[in-house]
Amino acid sequence: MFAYIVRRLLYAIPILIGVNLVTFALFFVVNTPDDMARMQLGVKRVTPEAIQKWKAERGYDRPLLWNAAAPGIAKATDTIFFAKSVRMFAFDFGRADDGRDIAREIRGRMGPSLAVALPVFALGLAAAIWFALLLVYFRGTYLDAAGVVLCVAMMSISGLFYIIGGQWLVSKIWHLVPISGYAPGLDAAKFVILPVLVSVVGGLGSSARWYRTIFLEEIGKDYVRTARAKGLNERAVLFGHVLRNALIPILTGVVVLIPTLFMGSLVIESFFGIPGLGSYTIDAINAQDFAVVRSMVFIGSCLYIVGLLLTDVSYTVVDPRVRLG
Amino acid sequence: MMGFKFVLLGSDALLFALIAVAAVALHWARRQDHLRHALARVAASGTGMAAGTLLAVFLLVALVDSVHYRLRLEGAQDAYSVEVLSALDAALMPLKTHTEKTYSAPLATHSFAKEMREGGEWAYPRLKYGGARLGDDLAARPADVARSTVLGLALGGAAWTILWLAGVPLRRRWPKAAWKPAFGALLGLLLAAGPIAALAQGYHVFGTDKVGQDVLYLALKSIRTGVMIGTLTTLIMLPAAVLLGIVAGYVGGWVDDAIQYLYTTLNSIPGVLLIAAAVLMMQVVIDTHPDWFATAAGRADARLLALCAILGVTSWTGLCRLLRGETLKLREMEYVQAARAFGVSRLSVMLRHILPNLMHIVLISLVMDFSGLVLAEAVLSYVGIGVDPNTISFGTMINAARLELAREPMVWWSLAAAFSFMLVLVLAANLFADVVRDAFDPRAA
Amino acid sequence: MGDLLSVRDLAVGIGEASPVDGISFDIAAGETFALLGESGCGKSMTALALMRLLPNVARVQGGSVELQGRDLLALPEYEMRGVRGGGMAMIFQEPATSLNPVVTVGRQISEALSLHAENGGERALELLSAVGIPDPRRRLDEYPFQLSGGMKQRIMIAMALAGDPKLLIADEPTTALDVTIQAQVLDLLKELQRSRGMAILLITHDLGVAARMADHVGVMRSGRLLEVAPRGRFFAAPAHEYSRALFAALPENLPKPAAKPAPAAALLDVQDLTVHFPIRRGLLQRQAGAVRAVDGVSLRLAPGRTLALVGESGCGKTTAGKAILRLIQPTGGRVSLAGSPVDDARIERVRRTAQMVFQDPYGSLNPRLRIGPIIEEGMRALGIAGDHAARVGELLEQVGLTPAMAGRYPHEFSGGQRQRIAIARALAVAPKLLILDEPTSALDVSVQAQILKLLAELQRHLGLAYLFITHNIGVVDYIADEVAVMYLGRIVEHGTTEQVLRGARHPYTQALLAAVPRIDGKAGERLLVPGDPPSPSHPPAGCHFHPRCPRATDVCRGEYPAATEIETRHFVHCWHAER
Repeated sequence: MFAYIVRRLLYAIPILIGVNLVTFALFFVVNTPDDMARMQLGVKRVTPEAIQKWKAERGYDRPLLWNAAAPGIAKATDTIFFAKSVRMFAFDFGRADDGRDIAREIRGRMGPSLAVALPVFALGLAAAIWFALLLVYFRGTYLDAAGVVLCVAMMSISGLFYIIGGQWLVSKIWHLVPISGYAPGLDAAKFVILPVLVSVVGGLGSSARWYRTIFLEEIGKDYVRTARAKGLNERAVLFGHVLRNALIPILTGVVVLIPTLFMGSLVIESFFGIPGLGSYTIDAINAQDFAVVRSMVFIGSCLYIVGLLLTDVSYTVVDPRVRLG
Repeated sequence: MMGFKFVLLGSDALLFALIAVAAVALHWARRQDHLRHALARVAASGTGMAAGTLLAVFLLVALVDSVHYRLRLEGAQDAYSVEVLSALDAALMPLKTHTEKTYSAPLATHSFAKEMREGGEWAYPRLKYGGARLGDDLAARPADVARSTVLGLALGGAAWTILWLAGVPLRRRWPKAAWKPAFGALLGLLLAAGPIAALAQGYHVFGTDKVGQDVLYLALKSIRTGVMIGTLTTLIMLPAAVLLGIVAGYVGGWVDDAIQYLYTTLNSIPGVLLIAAAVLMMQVVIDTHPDWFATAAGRADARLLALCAILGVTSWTGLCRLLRGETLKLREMEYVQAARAFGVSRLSVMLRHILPNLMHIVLISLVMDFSGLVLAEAVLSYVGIGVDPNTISFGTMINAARLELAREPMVWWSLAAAFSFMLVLVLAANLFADVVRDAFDPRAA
Repeated sequence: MGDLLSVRDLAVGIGEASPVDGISFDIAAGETFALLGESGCGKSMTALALMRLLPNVARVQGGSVELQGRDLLALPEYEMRGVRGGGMAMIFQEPATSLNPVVTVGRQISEALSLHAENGGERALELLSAVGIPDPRRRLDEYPFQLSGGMKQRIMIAMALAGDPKLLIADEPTTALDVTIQAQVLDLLKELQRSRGMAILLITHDLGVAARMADHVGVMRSGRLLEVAPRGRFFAAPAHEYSRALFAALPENLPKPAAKPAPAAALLDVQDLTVHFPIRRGLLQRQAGAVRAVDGVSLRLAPGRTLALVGESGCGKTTAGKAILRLIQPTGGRVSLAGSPVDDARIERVRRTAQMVFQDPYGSLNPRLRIGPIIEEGMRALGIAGDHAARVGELLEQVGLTPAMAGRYPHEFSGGQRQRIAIARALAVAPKLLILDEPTSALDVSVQAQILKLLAELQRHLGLAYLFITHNIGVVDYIADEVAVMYLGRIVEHGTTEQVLRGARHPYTQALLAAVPRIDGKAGERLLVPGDPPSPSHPPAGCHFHPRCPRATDVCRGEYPAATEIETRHFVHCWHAER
């Protein structure tokens, strides 16, 4: 087990290097820093001097990969690749194009993101499993058929409409909670309820339908017949046998998402004015702040790799057959 | 007569190519035993035929909207307008050009917002086109609307009857297909479309948006964008996913390691961020090379294709991993071992024994991905990393209308139109995908 | 009548079809009733209907089932649950999938106990001891995957016994098990039946199993019960024509094929073949050991003759067969075919000389190709000239099919026909040697007889040599000239069929032969071997068989025995073979 985790962590290094190379290529090779400067400065103020100044302020005036002019080791380190990409391995993200410290922003915004994302994750999972179990319990009846149609209809509606509709109905018509905004501490609750509710409802259709398929697949297996042959009732079969086995693919499928919860949700946070990492990312995208987008890509990849590792570990927890070696 | 010249945008070419490939594939599939049975199962399904009919109509709209041309400037010999129009624009010409000043409600005769008249008093100004044929006789509107509706219903019914008669040979050729649901769906569609078309001659059926554009026109134009994203994305990623998935699974060893590394790396970058980064970068490229594109439509099209490609890269990994896993299972099948015992070459085993036994997965994932991609386009365009802001799409419609429900009084029609068009498209796609999956999945058969 | 179970006119329908079409039988308390039939005859569907556990698509269409006078089909579902596991219990064919993989054995048993009995904990232990599970206290906390197939079936039996049932329905309880394990489980069932006075409804396709277990036998075909008779009368003089056909199809009752050519120079010569699969562990994935699937196998086979490679599952016989053809890369040893060594450079000649027929008729034909291209594939790959289409027609006729079938797809054929197609495919490149990997074990006995006859006929016409890999001793007796018995990657006994089957000297061979249920019902000299075969990654020191061997002594624990030649060409690897 220990050896396995160490090996997986070692395997993460080439992947992170790969991610870094991809982003580096995207941000500095497809476009030169000059292009970025021109974009940022706007058409009117583009002069060679302004571009030079913009680049110098942000450290983009160095060579890309190899600084022949610099002395000694600086030949390799005084480059854009080293300053902007390699240093991310030490979680040194530098400053955003507007001058603010990225690491500090990230630390401050993780809380609000989690305040929304964690309840969405937990409640969404519970609601979908519950709904799927309900459909499976009544499988073959009209209730099941209607439930499946409802699921398909729900997953055919764009998430944007759940948000817009939820805001309109709950906030504007019923005046139950503020339409958007955020406050730290316990006051956050009243701001968080609506986005959580909207996300859970919005995701229910597709996950419940998927889980239902998993449950039905399990119900067809031989051990379920054995359980019935013992004289167990339908509820005991469903909860005591089917659920335990079906949870293996369900849980291990969602574990990979847990670390990425830190990243927040782009759309939800921007609609509801939650000052989390999702809205930070979206603001950066709209402001074309490449430094921030690059940092978020790197962090997201790290979290995903942690998620993969957690997935493997979770297998050993929920499935006695799996031993990592 | 006005001259014009055809314009073939990149996405048009790909869409036509896709249709051609699909037609050839269908023809070929009908001669393969198992595929013919699967197709017959799709055709025998009522849901499948009804949803398929709706999808076909959407596809037709997208196709008509993909025939692009530029008008010759008046008086000029060889100069053409910079505006690229499509056959759909030509068909909807009154709608496209009949723009009001700002918001107006569905079937309204007056603007939504008051305006200062010359006399200094505030009043709702009369619309330029909406209900213009009524003249000053505003009281005649209900009767006019009713007349148009009835006329439209009659037209829709007549059109359906003609199609139904034209369908006789089809029904005779394939008597086992579920034609009733298909023509039922068509009837419903035509009975809705007839009155809309009739009313659209004199009114803005779904109202107008902030800048006075007809919402019905916008919704119809959005269909092409959705269909493009839904089909081209999968098309772009398909060859790579199939090739790498099979090679990784069958060849194994370091090749497998390298391919797994590639898709794990791409997969580990959060999808939205990779799309955001790539779209931003593509936008910079497009903006810094204005000389590459003759028209604004060309530029928007380049962004659409770039978006498809990037979406393809992010969704590619799932299919690739799935195919690799299936190939690993197939590799151990006894018929593959039998082929190896004859010394059949690797390439030949992959082409004859592995690929044909994976095609159902490819097809199913192609159909299943469609609806997800249409939904993704809306979200991405809303976030600002989707299609070009000048491209009409569901996402840009929703983005423009996002704050309208908060207005007093509320402006609901843009969102309602986008909502209904998208729902019908995505729901039809989802239902059709389910039927296709059940028909082609060997486990279900 | 004192009948425990009484079934009258039971009918089950699936859509238009009637898999069970009005059958009636009775089972008295404490007796065993064997429901005998080939696959698809409706015998399992009958069992499920009795338990009211039919799959959703199937419906009971009529008849009555009375258990101790209660009409089960009329009971409401909640009362029926009391009958399941209480009045009658059921065990299934596949112990590997019939236990919940993520719940401990103890919990699965106590769950049944809590429904039908008191004080679960101690009773679970008692039950495990009763079904002969060693170290039961430790087993309670284990999961099914930690147990062997035989152990799992014992756990299933323990679970079924939890409610002290009056009737145990056993649906092919030993079909998935090896023959030595089958003997253990059948003995256990008999023993439990005696001590508990329990009746057994035994569903089986195996005449031998029925002969060994049953008091009454019912023969089923296409949903109907053709004949019900006491065991003695049934096996002495089966009344129904179909029953007689079943007996006639048994390999031991088939007319022996004509004499074979005398052993000549070897066509196939295998020396010390080994296939070791590495086990990698730890941080750097170093090789920590190996699964010794094939561990030094030597064989010789002359043209026109048949060598049977016999052994139980996991003994390495299939791996050895594939390694000879280099479908699996051997890790050591030499193979030569028709006088020239087999290596990667001369692989093409090997493929023209030797071909393989696989076990699973459903997995061995690509479902996406028509029969013609399937058979043609070898000729194309090896560049054999000539009119391929004509040759395909010829081959199809040779295996008893018609040339017109070349245009059809595999799913249009039955299991036996598919196996014929697979044989035609192998013959297409005109090989001299066929490696037949359990070619009939997935088939019903009547179809098996046809395939065996076909193989014998092809051998006579074409002078083929067969390496026949099987676990079925009856088939060996019919087709083989020589027999090699494999245990844990090595050959333990090798000789002519006569020598090995009727003069076996290795205790494992003797146990294997004794374990085969015989239709004369005679147990013969019973030599039951206990336990399960050890893992090929950790073979026992010394003679591999010593932990299960009744004759083991200190010398067996110390060193692996070398070959002893008992008679001419009859070799045994046993320290006590001379006895």
